[in-house]
Amino acid sequence: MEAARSTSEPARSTARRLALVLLGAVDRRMLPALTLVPQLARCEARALHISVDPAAAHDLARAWMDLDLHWLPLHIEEPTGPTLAGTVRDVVGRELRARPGVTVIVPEMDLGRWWQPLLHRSAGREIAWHLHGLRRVTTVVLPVRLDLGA
Amino acid sequence: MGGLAEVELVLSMLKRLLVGRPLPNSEQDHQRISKVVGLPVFSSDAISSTAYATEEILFVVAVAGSSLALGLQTLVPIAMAVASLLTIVVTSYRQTIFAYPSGGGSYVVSRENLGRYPSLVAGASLLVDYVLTVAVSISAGVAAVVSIPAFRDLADRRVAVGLVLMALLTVANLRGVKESGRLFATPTYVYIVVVTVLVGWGLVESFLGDLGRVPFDPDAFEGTRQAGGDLGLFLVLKGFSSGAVALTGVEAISNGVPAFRRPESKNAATTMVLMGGILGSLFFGVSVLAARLHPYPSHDETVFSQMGRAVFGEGPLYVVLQFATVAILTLAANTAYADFPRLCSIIAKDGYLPRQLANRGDRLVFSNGILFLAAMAGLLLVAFGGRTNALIPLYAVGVFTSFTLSQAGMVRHHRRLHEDGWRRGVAINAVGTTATALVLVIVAGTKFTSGAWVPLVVVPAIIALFVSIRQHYRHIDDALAVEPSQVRPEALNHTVVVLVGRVHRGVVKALQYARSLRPNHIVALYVSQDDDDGARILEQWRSFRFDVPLEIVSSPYRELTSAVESYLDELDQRWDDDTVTVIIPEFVSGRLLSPTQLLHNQSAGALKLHLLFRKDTVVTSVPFHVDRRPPEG
Repeated sequence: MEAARSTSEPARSTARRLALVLLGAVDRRMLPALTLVPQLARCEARALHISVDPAAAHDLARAWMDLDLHWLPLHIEEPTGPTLAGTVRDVVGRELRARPGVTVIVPEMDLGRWWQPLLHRSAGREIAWHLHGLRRVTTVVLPVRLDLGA
Repeated sequence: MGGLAEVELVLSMLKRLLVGRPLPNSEQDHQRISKVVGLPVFSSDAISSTAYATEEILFVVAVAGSSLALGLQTLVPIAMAVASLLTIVVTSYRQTIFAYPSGGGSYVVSRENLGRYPSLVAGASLLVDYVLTVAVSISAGVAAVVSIPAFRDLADRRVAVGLVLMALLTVANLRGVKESGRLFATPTYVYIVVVTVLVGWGLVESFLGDLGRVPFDPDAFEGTRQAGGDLGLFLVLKGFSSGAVALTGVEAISNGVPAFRRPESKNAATTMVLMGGILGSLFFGVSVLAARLHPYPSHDETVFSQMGRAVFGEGPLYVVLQFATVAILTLAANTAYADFPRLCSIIAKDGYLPRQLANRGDRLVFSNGILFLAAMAGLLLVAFGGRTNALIPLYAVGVFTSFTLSQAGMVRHHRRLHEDGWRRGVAINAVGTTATALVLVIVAGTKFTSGAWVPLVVVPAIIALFVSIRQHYRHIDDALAVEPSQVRPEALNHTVVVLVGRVHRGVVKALQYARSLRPNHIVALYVSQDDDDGARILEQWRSFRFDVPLEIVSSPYRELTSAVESYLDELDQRWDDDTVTVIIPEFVSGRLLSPTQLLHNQSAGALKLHLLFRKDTVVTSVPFHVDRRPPEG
């Protein structure tokens, strides 16, 4: 066994572990996350959108209602800092005060093309990197492969 | 993520050191500026061109197969023509200022009045123009430095000096240099005053005193020195094309109208006229002085420096002239650093450029645009050996294309909206359109072989790129569209693979996490080096009585990535999975860059990166926090 000891964790409340699905928009990228979330045992689930553009947040909220996703409540948070990843970290930190742990599910589009990073910002990986090392946090980067054909 | 995460951490620390801490959005304020401050902020680019425009005319008319004396004779008529063109352009852009109080760059004016493709032409031309502004201004600034006798040894390293200047400017902009009035005002006003003194004093001394011609150095002169003959129309027009670079940056005020104090349009229009007056007077004055003092085009010393030494000697005023020239040229480059990323952001928001260019970075500047501009301008500087006159032929095409489209857009704007005085507006902008279109034809025609072909090829290529990027985003939007029927959770055939390096607490935690996913199958996977190694881990696994089967795959060379990938392929065959989740237990130590963490996570990081591109595969890190302090008690 690894000669190491896990540091003490804060007193657990009765709150359950939280599964947080990060959303930029209502689109196909969220589908695998919607399938994964119900499989997480003993977890409370929530969708999270960081509102960098109020109009986009409004559209997203409307689309969410239209899709009738009542089982996965959508929370919209104002950015707490200049970066998206920093805001997610703040939200996760806040939740960790009252919960035994947080699983952050980050849907990530994958085109399978070398030039993808040039046209699409990999916010998911940036967020995963920011959360890396936070105790009681598990990050799931959920790739969604889009086949663009030839 | 793994070892790569450590590298990223080091890079992130370096970034903070270089560009500073992230800034909150609240610091993104827009300070309103007065005309006195607005003039240097928005005119440094235009006014700085007086430092090289006259020389560029001479480089054409006194070098290309003609004589120095003939070239000098044509200098004043060409300068008059350029000054007249400046008057037309300034008058036209005053209309834009009143029509677009929220800022009317050529791209926006063309988009709103002329449609998609003209606006893309304007956008591409402006982007090329901004890159060239940086390259030309920096190379002209370096030329001013190496003209000072004390710094002449740097002439052979002009590219390196230029790149250093550019790097400093890039870092300053990445840190978020604001268009601070004080930063711009001092060098710009010092330059205006010292050049006014140069021209005034030089002309008085030349006409009334004993100021003679610049001593001629035949070794430094790049051309032929002869009397008589005549200069063909082609060369005169080519010289005019070179002088027309004095107009670069004239449109900057019309882009920045909202930055002015109320009434914004009126203040901006007054500043535009002031700028036109100063630019025209200085350019014309410098050209007249050059016609009197007979400087010669040379790569060793600029025409400006030759005249400065002739008028001021090598005393403090000369040094002030040279350093003020370097300063204003650097500020001119800085203007492009502000405008290029802003334009990229507008075009990116329209979907024609990568979305990364649309967002501000953590210092509230468009970091990606700044870096892209620096890279392109740096390439140009290296490719053209840091010589201003080699870059100039590339320059004016983009400038006059955007002028023409902007003015044509204004004609359409007046005709469409029929505002008060629209007929007068149409007339003014129609004259502007015709004049700038004519200059565009002259520039493209006379300088085609000496470099104007480059933007004529590059601009359409950029437009093709714009269109393909837009198509890509549309394609992606279509592919991502989701229907209500698709969002119902479906049953998923799910297998979880827990990667095991050896048995430790991290693996126990990873197995707990794997069970919490309630998959159809859970397997643990060990990649063994040899049979003994495999037998050892199997025995250890059994001794812990885990209720998860351990599968061992052999990889004699300990090549983790391909072994895991082959195993996952086999797993797909076995269970026809919809999704496979690979769980990687990862050590996280309390210390940054701990050697243990580096050792443990190198291969995991590489594997994760690889698996991120595997279809229907989810990669999950389960962190295991270790602390090397001895247990208490």
